[in-house]
Amino acid sequence: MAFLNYQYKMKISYSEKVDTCYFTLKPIPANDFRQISISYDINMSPQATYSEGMDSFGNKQIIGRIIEPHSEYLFTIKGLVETRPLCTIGGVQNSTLGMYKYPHGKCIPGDNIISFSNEIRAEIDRCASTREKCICIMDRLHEKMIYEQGSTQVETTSEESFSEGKGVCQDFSHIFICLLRIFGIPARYTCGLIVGEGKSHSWVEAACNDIFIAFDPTHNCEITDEYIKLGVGRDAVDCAINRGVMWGGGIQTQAVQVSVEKYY
Amino acid sequence: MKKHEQALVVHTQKINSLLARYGVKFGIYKNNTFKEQLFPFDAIPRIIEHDEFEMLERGLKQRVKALNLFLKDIYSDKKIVKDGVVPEDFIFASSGYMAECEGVMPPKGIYSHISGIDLVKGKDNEWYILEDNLRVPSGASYPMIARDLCRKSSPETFHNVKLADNRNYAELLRKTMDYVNPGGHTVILTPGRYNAAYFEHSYLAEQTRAHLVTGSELFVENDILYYVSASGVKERVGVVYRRISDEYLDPMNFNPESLIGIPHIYDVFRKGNVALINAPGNGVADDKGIYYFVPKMIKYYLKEEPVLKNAPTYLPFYEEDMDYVLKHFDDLVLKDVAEAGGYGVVFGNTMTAKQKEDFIELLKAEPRRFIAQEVIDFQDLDIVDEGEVVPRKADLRAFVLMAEEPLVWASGLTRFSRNPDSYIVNSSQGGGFKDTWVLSQ
Repeated sequence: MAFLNYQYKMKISYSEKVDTCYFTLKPIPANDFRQISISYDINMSPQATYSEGMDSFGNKQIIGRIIEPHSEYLFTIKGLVETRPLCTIGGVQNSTLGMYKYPHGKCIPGDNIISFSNEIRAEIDRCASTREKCICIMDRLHEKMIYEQGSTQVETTSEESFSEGKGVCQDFSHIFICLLRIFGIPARYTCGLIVGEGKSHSWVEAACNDIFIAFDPTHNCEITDEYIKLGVGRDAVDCAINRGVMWGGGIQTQAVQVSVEKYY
Repeated sequence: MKKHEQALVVHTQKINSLLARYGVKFGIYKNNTFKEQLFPFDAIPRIIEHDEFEMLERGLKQRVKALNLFLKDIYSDKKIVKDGVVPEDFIFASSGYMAECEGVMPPKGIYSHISGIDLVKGKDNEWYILEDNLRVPSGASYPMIARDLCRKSSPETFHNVKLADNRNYAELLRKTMDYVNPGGHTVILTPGRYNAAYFEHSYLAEQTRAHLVTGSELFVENDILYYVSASGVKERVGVVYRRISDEYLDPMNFNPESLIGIPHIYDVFRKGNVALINAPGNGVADDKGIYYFVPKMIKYYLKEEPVLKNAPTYLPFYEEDMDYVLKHFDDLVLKDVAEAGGYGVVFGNTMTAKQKEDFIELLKAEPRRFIAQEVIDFQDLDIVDEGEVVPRKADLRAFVLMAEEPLVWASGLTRFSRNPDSYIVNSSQGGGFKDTWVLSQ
């Protein structure tokens, strides 16, 4: 059992003033079998009217709008989460599992991913359990891909980064999801935070029979109690921490700072 | 020509010029320029006998009831999938399925408030359902205004023939909208005057006493949708009869590039604070692949036998059907389920040997992508073409409104092809329309 104290700070700077801005934020830790969100505190500037709700993937969301002209937007969430040293997330909900079985959005495999899946197929078929299959696919993927910061953009698709042979956590997760789905394993994207200083992280939950197990393809491991899950979806777009529509603004730059401390 | 037909046909030109003056047009984009085209009106009405309409009414109500239950089931428990009636592939791999709608219940549980069901009458005198339109079916305004002009042109005709008055559509539509209103104004949301059906948007707004608005006049604040009136006052909106498609409705929930949508409108809907007519996500129930399953849905949800028939359809997804399709390839029409508007439709007997070979290869590789149907030879209706009465292919779009109970409008849009060799009646392909008379006794 671990306690994780986290802080997520986001600053968006605009080259021109924004008149009106609508936002949807999904930065609130989920509650599931392996983690409990004990408390959190949200701050933003300029001040905005907002409300909380839940999206169709089960993520908590904050929606609101800012009508005060601004050239900088600051958002901070701080909180405490309790985690268990497990990578099992909880039972799958059968009625919505289907949405994690098919190609979608950033997780549409192209020729390169498909031919790679054919190369490793014999080996995967020899695995005794679904969990072993996941680990084996993750191993092969890890051999194939290099982690390189800044090598891809937020918009990059799984096929694009796979073809380049490099990417960041989002790309590793997207490609892993493509491969799992090709092998008939329902898989969903997970957005979250890990112990240390840096940015947000992502990993993958795969439905192994009737339970979700979380794998981190970037680090080639099953997750531990040092992971805080924020949101899930079919791909990164469904659980993006920040989504906005604005009038004005010009060019925007976003800076994110995350820190997570662990204590027992 | 019958006497009542003659009485109307003499007014054809006058009615058409009045329709043009009222702006009964549809816009189309050709080579990147916007052109407005008239929608030619033929004065000979399609007549549906009283008994025949009663049968259609029963069948259409039953169908729309089942389709609504299907949508409610699909975005919640998916019992019909669990029970093996509809394979999972036809839901989750359908382009009409929207995961964003999972677990969201529209006000009063109604998904398709306005359904446009397309039918044809075969030479065997049987009616066949061609397709269900549950997203934004258009066309009701054309027979409304045409009837109005016909009555003005020849009032005596309408004294002599006993037919159901169709001028109540606006009132029925208003009741349908009021039934699901959680509180606030009723608006019709249009993408603007460059939309193909702009005439209809403005006409229906006027007739139902709703505000005609564009996206920029609506906004969301604290989970409530507001409309800003011309005088700058903000007022709550309870119903949005939206004439824009799901993907453009809300850039925060669907296509982020949309400029005509309203940010967070779907989140207001999610909380039950506004009714969207029709509900987003309906595409999963009206695609070509799911059409095959509608008679099965009727049996599954209502425990009834379907009153109206589908055109005989085969799903190559099932091995048995694939065998049939391969054996009878030349007698069938094949349709790509992802395509619409007459695209992706091929007739087996028009293919060359090479085309056929390629197509069959594709069919075997992606069986879920196609349906195959028997070609229905449907009845002709008379039209007047340059002074002569000639037969042309025609279909019927029936409008079914769903409030507490479904209700079929005693009229409909009869579209015909002006080309003698064509089965395609779409207005964008130069087709025209007729009034549809339902005899009241």
